[in-house]
Amino acid sequence: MDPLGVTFLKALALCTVLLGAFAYMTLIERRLLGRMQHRYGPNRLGPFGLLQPIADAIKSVFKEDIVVSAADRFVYVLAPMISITFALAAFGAIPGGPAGSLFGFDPWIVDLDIGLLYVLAVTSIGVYGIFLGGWASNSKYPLLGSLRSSAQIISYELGLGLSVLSVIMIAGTLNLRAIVELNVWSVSPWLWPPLAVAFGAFVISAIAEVNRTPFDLPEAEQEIVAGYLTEYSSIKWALYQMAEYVNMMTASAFISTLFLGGYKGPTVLEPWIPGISDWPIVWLVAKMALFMFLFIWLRATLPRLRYDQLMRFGWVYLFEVALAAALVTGAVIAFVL
Amino acid sequence: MTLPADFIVVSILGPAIVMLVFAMITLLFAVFQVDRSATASMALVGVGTAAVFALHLLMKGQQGAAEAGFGLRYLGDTPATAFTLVILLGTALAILVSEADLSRLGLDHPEYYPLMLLSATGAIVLASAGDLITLLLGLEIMSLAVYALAAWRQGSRQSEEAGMKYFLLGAFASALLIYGIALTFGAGGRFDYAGLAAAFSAPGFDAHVLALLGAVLLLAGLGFKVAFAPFHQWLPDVYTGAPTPVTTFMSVVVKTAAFAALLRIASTVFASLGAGPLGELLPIMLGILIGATLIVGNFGALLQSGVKRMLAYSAVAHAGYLGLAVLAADTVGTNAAIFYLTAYTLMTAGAFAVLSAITNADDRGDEIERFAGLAARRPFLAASLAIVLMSLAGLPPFAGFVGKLLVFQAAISAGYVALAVLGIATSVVAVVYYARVITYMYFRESDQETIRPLAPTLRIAVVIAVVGTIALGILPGFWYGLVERGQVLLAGF
Amino acid sequence: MITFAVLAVVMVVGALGVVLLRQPVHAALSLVGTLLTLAVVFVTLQAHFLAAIQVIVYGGAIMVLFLFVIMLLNLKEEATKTRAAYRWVAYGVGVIAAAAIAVGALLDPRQAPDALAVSEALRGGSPELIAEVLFGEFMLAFQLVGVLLLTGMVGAVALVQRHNEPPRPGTPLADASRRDARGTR
Repeated sequence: MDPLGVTFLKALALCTVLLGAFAYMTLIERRLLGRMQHRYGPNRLGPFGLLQPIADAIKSVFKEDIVVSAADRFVYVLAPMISITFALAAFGAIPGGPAGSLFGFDPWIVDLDIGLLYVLAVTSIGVYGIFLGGWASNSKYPLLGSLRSSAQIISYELGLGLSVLSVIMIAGTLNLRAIVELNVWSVSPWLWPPLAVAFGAFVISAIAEVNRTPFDLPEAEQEIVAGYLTEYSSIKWALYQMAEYVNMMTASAFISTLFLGGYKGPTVLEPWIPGISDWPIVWLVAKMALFMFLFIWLRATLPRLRYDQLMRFGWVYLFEVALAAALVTGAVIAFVL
Repeated sequence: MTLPADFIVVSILGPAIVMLVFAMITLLFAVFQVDRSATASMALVGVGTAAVFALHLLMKGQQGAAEAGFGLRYLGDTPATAFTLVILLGTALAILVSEADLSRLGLDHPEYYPLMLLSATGAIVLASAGDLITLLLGLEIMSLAVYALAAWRQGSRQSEEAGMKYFLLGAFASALLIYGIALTFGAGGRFDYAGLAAAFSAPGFDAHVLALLGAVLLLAGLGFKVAFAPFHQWLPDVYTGAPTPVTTFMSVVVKTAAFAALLRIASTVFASLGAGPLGELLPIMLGILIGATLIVGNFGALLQSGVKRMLAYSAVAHAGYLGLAVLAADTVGTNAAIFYLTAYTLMTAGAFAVLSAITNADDRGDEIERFAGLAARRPFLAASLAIVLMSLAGLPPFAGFVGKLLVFQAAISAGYVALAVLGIATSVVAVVYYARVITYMYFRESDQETIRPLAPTLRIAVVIAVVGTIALGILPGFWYGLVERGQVLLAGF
Repeated sequence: MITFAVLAVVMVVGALGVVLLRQPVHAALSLVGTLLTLAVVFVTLQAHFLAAIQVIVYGGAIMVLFLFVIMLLNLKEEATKTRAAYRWVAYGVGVIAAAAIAVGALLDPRQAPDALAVSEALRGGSPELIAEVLFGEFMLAFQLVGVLLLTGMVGAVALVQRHNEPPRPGTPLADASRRDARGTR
C-alpha cells in the first residue's frame, strides 16, 4: 500500500495521461481513417499534424457554450460531468504492473479484491451521462439518442457480464492483479475453446458498451443528427468526447487485463533482457494500442447496424453465445479438471 | 461452513416441484402451439400428481413423521400439506372453469395455464414457508402471475384497471411486508419462525417496540393479500374487473395461501410476542381489523346489485371469519381455518363457475335481474348456485355452516367472545344478500333469453363443488379428523 | 460514525427527493443518488462486494430501465399532479409511520455492534462469505428467486406479446415468427 499522498499524485498523473492520450487519440484516429480511406487526414499543423489536437482544444474552449433554454439546466450541465468522471474513475482499478515496480510504488491507483466488479460498476454508472444528456436537451433527436443508448447498454451488459463470468470461474477471483498473474489461458487447453468464444463476445460487447461503430447508434449522424450530442457545444461537447475516448482506453485495458495477460510481457524475451516481462505499464500500453487500433479499424470498415439488428444481435446471438461459453467453462471446470 | 446432513429434504418439496415441472411442460406446449384443451388436461394431470405427493406427506403427518427441511425454512407438516391440498383443489376447479370459458371469452392465450401453475407453485411455497424469506418469495411468485392474469383481457378498461390496481397495491403491500421483515429481523436477528419465536420469548429479550412494529407491518402486508378491511379496497374492483376464471383462481387459491402464511406467523411469531409487555397490542389491532372486515364485507355485499361484485364483498366478509381463526392463533384455530378454507374453496369456485356460465363474453351481465327465473330455465345451475350460496351464508347442513361453527368455537375458546358474537350477527346479514339471489332464481318470472349450453368441464367443476359442499357439510369429521390427527411443527410458543 | 451520519443524511434527503420532486426524471435521479449512497455505506462497512453489486444491479440496470421507461413515456409535470386532499392525508400517515419507526429504533435498548467486529465478521467483504450463505443456508430461497424471475418473465411476455395481433417488426420474437411463417424452422 502506498501512502495516501502518493496515491493522490498517481491519480492526478493518470488523469493527465488519459486526457493527453485522448487528445492524441483523436489525431491518430483521424490520420488512420484518412490512411484507410486513401486521403491525408489532418497534416498541416506541425509535423504529421502533431499540433492539431492543441488547436482543437483551443477551438472548443473558446466556442460559445450554449445552454439550450428549454433544457433541464441542472441535468444538462451535470450529464457531461458524470460521463467524464466515471470514465476516468474506472481506469483506476486496472493494474499497470507488478507490485512496487513503478519506482518502488505500485503502478495502480486502487487494488481492490473486487477490482473486476469495480470496473463494471463504474462504467455502468457512466452511461447515465449519455442518456441524461440526451433527455435534458429537451429535443427529439437527443432523446432518441439517449433512448437508444440505454436500451443498447442494458442489452449488451448481459453479454459483457456473461463473458466475464468465464474468466471469473477460471480464475476464481475478482482481483484483476490475481487474474493477470494467473493468466487464464495457462490453466488448461480444455478451456481454450470457451475462453476464445468468451473473448470474442467480450470484445464485441465492449465495443457496444463504448458506443463505437458499428454500434454507435446513440449518435448516428445520418439518422438522428448527432444523437445525444446534438445540443451540446464547446467544453461540454469536448467532455463527452473525452469520456468516449477514455472509455475506449479503459475497455482496451480491461480486455487486455482479463484475457491477454494485462501488464505481463512475453516471457520469451527474458533470456535476453532479464525482467523485461515485468516492466510496468509498457506492455499494458502496447496491448491497449492493439485494441485502440482495432476500434479505429472497425470504424473504417464496418457500416452501422440498424436498430433492430442491434437488438437482435445482442439478445438472440451474443447473449446465447456468451451464455453457452459460460456453461461450457463451468462444465469443463466441474467435470474435466 | 458445513450444513447439517438433513438440511436438504427433497420429499417435502414434492408438490411444489411437480407443479413447477408441469408449469414448464405447459410452457413448452405454449411454445409449440399445442392445442389448448390438451394444455389444460396436462395442467390437470400436474395438479393431480402434485396432490398425490401432498397426500403422501399428509399421511406421514398422520403417523407423526412430518418433516421439515432447510433449517425449518420449509415445512411438510399437516397444516402445510392440508393447505397445499386445498390450493390444488382450488387450482383444479379454476382450470376446469378456465377450460370451459377461455375460448368463449377470447382469452385463451398460450401462457395462461403455465402462469396459473406457476402461481399455484408460489401459493404452495407460501403455505409451506417456515421463514420470512421463503414466505416473501412464495408470495411474490404467486402474486406476479396473478397480476398478469388479472389483466388478461387486453383492451378492456376494466380488466386492465384490475391488473394495474392489483399490481400497484400488491407492490405497495409487498413493500410493507418487506419492511416488516426487515424490522422483525432487526429485532430477532433471524428469519425463520422458530428462531424468531425463540428469540422473542427468550428471557433477556428487550427490543419489544421494534418487534411489535415489525409484526404490525407484517400483518398489514399480509392483510392486503387476505383483504382485511381497510386493506380490502382493491378487492371488489379487481375481482369484478378480472375475467371470471381468473377471479375464481384468485378468490380461492390466493386467499388460501395468504391465510396459511398468516396463520403460521400468528401461531409462532405473533404468539411469542404475546408474552411481552406490549403483547396485548397486536391481538387488539388484529381484532379491530377483523371487526371492520366483518362489517365492511357483509354490509358492502348487501349494497351490491351485481352478483360478481356481491361475491367479491362476500370474499372480504369471509376473510373476517377466517380472521377469527387467526386471532385464536393456535392449533385449533389453524385446523378450523383449514376446514373453513376447504369449504370456502368449494363453494366460491362453485359460485363463480355458475356465474361464468351465465355472464356475457365480456364478463358483463351479472346483474341480479339476470338470475330471475333461472330455476325454470336451468334447474341444474339454479340448484347448484342455491346450494353453494346457502353454504356461503352458513346454513346447515352445508360445509359453510360447519366451517363457521369451528371458527366461532376457536375464537370463543381463545377468549374472543365479543368478536365471535359480531361474527354471528353479521352472518345474519349475510343470509339476506345470498338469499336475495336465490329468491330471484326461484320466485321471479323469467324475462330473459335462454342460456347457452353448459360446457362439460364447467359441469364437472360445478358438480365437484356442490358434492363437496354437501359432503363436507354432512360428514365434516372425515376431513377435519384427518387434519386434527395430524402433526403440527413449530407449535406451542 | 460521522461518516455514517453524513451518509444517512444524504440518503434520507435523496429518499425525500424521490417523493417530493415533481419531475419524474429528477425523482428517479434522486433514487439513483440514494442507491449509490447506500453502496457507499456498504463500502464503509467493508462490504465491497455488496457495494459493487448494488451499483451494478440498481444503478446500472434497474434505474437505467426506470429512466428508460420514464423517458419513453415522456411524462410532463402536469400529468403527475395528484389531488391535494389525498396528498395531505398521505403525508400525515407517512410522517406518523416514520415517527413510529424512528421511536421504535430509538427505544431499542441494544448497543450497536462494534464496527471492527462487523468488519472482522465480513472478512473484508469477500464474496465467499456471501456465497456460503446464499448457496448454503438460503439455497431454497435462491432457487425460488429463479422461479420468481421466470414467472415475471412469462407474465411480462404474455401481456406484451399477444399472439392474436401481428408481432411488431424488430422484436426478436417477431423475426422468429416471420421465419416460421416462411417455413424455415
